[in-house]
Amino acid sequence: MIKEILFSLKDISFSYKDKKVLRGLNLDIEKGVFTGIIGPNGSGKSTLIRIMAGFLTPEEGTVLFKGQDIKKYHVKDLARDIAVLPQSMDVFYPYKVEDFIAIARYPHLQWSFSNAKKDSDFIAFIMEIMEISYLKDRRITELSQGEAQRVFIAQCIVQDPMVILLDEPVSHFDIKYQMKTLEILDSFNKEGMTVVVVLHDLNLASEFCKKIVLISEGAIYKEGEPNEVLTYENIEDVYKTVVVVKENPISGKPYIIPISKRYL
Amino acid sequence: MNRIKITYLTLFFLLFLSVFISLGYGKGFYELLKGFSCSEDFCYVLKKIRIPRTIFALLIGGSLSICGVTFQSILRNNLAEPYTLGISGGASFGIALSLIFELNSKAGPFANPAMGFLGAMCSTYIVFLLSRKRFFDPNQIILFGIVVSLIFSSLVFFLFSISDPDRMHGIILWLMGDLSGFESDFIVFYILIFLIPAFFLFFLNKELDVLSLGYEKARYLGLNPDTGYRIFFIITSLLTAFCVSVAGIIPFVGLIVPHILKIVLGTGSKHILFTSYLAGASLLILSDTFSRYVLYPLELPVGVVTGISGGTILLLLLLKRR
Repeated sequence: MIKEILFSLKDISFSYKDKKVLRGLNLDIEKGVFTGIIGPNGSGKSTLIRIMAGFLTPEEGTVLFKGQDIKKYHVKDLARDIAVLPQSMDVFYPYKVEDFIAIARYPHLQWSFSNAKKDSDFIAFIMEIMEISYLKDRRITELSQGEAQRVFIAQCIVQDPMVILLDEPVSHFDIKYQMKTLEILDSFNKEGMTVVVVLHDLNLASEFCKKIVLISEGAIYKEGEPNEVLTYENIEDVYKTVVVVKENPISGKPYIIPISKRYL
Repeated sequence: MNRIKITYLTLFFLLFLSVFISLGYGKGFYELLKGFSCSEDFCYVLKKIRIPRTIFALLIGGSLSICGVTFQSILRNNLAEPYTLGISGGASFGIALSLIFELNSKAGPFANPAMGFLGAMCSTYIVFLLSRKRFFDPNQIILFGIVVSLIFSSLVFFLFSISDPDRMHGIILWLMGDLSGFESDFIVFYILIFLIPAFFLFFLNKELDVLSLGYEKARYLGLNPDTGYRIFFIITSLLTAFCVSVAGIIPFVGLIVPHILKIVLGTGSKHILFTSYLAGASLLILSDTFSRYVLYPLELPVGVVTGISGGTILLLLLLKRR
């Protein structure tokens, strides 16, 4: 099978005011691959997501999406292909959960007052899969952090994109929902959706991602399959933390155990 | 029947009822019920005063409410109202200038509203220019609005202090919100200028929903937020400026009405905009009728009535919210 490149980033540099965040970053994202982005705080992961989504324009370098410069796309066309979950979503308007999710149908709407039956069936279906149907009539402002985050992810999926970019989607979750959410993303991935996800938990990245991109100080340190990237040399060098890397006895993927200085 | 339908039915009934009360209160219920066979005196009052005044109350109440819905969504703040952007300060300054230079007698009956409108647009434009540099960060916009409003209010007080106080009586009444100073001869013109921006807001209900999710998320949902903010800024400032220049500052209508309907319905902007228009219209018609008769023959400015009643309701809501 020929690999199809969805995103192609070339020599990307970006800075906020005078703080340089990305320095000459090169990255290709393949279509249909569950890709994880990892790296220490402040290494430029969120900025990378925003640049891939076309929200930020890099100072130098180009972003190609489906072979064409991302700047040439109309924002509405991009929204039909790319859904993004930003790191923080704050809500103030007491929308009912169902109505809140429905807003994401915007890029597919033909007319301001259209409210197709097809759309509401699709929304109900996604809510069912995400196990949030019981929240349907609750207000988004009254949910717990974990519930709200699941609603935000459902909203991205309801946008029906070909690629979904998520910035730390599971940081608020307990292990049950961390697993569940990534499993759901995995199932959408199996049906063809490209998933690019920023994760802090290296073990979750190891379990779910087919490809891992390790970022350090605004550039790619290493990319590849989990066992190529998640070696103790790479992690210790980038995170400046001593770790032991074992093998997960069930999945066979690398399993990372951080070691406190107290024991060294 | 679901909650949305019940709300619409109730509000239509309420609007009908309030129009009826507004037209008939005082002496006239009986004649109103008899239909068109009214006496000449009453017909004159009805045509020249009560009907235009009721129409104005309807248009202004509805417009203020949908401007409130819009401002709350784009500023992402449930306590924003049409005057948050300092529009009232600019408008009062314009009208104060007009009163001091007696433009009314020189340039005709439209001088006061026109100057108020110019002042309103001027202050909003300043706020707009300042906020554009900050990616329309809601907190910054609100802060700029407060500061600009304060500066203009102080300019009004400056005008007060250097001019003849009698001449400023008009502006005091106007500052309190007053529906008695309308020009009934131009009613069709007014209906048009109030309804056209309202129509645009109804038409852009989905865009408003998208913008309510914030600058960044709106962009990801396929709406250019800069363009979006610009368009909503223009429409709502125009509509608010029309309201302010005709009727002065009528507080709380644009805040309370959307606030309550969002709690009751919780739907997207489409239903909130329509129901807010109906509810805001009824509320202002009723408040206006009340202000006309509560201290009869003295007439209270309607802003005093909405200020006291709306403020109390808001306080209760805030207390209830823990």
